[in-house]
Amino acid sequence: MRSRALWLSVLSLGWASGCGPSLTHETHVYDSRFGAKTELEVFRAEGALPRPAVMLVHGGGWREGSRSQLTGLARRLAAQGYVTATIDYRVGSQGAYPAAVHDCRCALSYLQNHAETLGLDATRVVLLGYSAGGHLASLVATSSPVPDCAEGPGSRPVAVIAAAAPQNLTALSWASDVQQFMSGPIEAQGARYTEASPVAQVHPNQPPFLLIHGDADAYVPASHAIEMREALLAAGNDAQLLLLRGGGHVINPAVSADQLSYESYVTDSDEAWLAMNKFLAGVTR
Amino acid sequence: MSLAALLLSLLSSAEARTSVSLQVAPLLAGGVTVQAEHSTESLRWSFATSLGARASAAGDYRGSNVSLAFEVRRWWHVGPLSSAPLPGRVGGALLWARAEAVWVRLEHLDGSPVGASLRGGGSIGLGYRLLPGWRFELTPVLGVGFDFSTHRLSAVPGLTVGVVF
Repeated sequence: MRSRALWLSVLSLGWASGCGPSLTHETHVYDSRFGAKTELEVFRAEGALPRPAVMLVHGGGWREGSRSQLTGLARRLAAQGYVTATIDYRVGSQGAYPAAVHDCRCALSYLQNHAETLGLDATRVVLLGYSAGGHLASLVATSSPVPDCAEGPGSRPVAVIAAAAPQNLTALSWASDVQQFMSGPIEAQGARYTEASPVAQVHPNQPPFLLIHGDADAYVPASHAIEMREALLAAGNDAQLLLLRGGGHVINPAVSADQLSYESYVTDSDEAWLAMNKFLAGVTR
Repeated sequence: MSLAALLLSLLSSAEARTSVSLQVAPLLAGGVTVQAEHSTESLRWSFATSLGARASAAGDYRGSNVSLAFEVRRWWHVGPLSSAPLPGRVGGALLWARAEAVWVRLEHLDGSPVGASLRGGGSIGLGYRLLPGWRFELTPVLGVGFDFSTHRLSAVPGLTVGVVF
């Protein structure tokens, strides 16, 4: 056990000092009807193919943001041996429910249908999302509409990592971002709020989930992750919850124990990195 | 003055003073950090060493980390509440630079290991320490940090509420 910890430490230091493998990256449009709003960027290290893949979905309250938010994490995972893809999707009024969900589903479909070209294994694609992106990733995995995708239908992801993700939109119905995403308040759109809440869509035989949340998240309370974990387990699914002590939505414990870091995500924490690695190794085996 | 000369003068100075403080802010994140600060005779420079431990994860995991940080501070004793009657206390505006290392260990609730990591980082910034009394300090800081693991730059806002022993 001690030698394993030492080995991981050496790996971590090696990466920190810039010893990682060189990566290639390329940009694709997964739905040409919407142009640059539906681009994705694929990162890959040199080596044998195909490999398991991770599709990363950015946050931004469904009204802003871009795939560049998760480039650092995508590069880090690609260096570990995964083919990774950061995606853009329509945001704001253009991305109002269900458009953004459909975009994520179509991006997944694109990756799966171009698996051979992209060097990935279509049966081992994991979705990873942060904040609104975590909500979208969770909903893609738990609900099953068949959107009109340029590449045709795809299949479900093999697993989901949802970080700082709203899982119950009904509980966040007071938030203006949620109301904008749902095109109206809950009083007028009640059934659609339920339909768009991953926790209300959970049923048996869903992919494994790793839920990561800060217990001091003021934007999306940790109760979302706790409730989602309980719903998944109650339906007989596999779910794990990593709660980061003192973690917020964009303000999180930094390198030191007595400073906080602004614009850092819970997924930037060492704890999340270790949990994600172990989880990904297990679900893509 | 070179850093080496400064360190030498600091260690050899009979007038140099050391204070030890307990950082209250880490308690909010489930941890404890003790900081020893050594001031030079002129009270224009100080060097702080922090040792922290934190229960960092919960849920289906148990996480802990230990951090070690070294910080150099340059002081300007201007402004309100920048001096205190306790010898060796320094306050006012400061420029700081910090280097840190954190050891993290994560395990499942049954005790089986998930992994461990060691990472480093650094940050630099400005701050202002208020000394409202003999035993208390309040230091808001703002800086820029770099994480060598994630390769990310981030703003580092902080507020240290210290109790001096």
